[in-house]
Amino acid sequence: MLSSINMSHIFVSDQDKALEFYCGKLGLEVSADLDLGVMRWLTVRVPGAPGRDILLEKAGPPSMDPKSADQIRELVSKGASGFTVGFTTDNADKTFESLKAKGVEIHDELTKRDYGTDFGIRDPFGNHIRIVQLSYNPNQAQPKAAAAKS
Amino acid sequence: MSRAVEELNRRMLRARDAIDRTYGELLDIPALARVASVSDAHFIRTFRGTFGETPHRYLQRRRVERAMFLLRETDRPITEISLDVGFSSLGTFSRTFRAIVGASPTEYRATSARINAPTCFTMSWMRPSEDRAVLEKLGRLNGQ
Repeated sequence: MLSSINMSHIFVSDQDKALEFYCGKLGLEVSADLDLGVMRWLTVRVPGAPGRDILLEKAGPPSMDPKSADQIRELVSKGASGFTVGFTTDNADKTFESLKAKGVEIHDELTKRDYGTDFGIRDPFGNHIRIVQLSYNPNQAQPKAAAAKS
Repeated sequence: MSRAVEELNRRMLRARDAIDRTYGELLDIPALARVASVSDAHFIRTFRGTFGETPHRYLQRRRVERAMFLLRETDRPITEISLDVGFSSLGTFSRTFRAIVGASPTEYRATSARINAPTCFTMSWMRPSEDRAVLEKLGRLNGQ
């Protein structure tokens, strides 16, 4: 059986710029920054939450051909990477104001929903990130969500 | 793809995000063009080239999507919803809604189910499309 998610992945077109954003503005920390020769293995994580890393990967050869890498950059910059990653916070209002003050690009404003209060931001490349203050304890089992007749 | 194209895409995306946040207001092409740092004429042309539809059409369908959301999730009067999402009158709203969704707002409310998904997903996936396959999916989802 699987026990947890330990890594997720985001395509970025500039890893230094990605670090400025994910660490400098969102407050994540670098968990690995290794020169593998053919690529830079760069992962970040929420401070105090080891074991859940995000790989900030630059698309390109030899992992893929230049044309494919261009297509990825084009799609990400048009917002077509979809929902990339979600973070939780203890205070959505405060986090929203803090990120806005840092010049982080707001995708959508604070919204109250059944599951909590959330908002969306974009990273410098167009990836969509969501931040939510949950209305329930995520460590307790929740019923599986299903569309219900209103 | 050049860095210039990537940057232009990002600027168009910023403008589209702005439409998504201010759909209840009048469409202000000069303001959106400023968000995208391009001329008015260049903005409309480039937006269409990037996303496959004009800013006006994108906004109209965003307004209908937000109205669908409020019809599903609230008991608010339809007139109030139509004005909130940016239509100038109930008549215009009802005609536009029926033309795009294929049902009146009242019919839609009666047959639609609440969707327990994050806002970003409903905004992305429930915005009406002319794609036949998408319309069929929405019809199935709404039990029509």
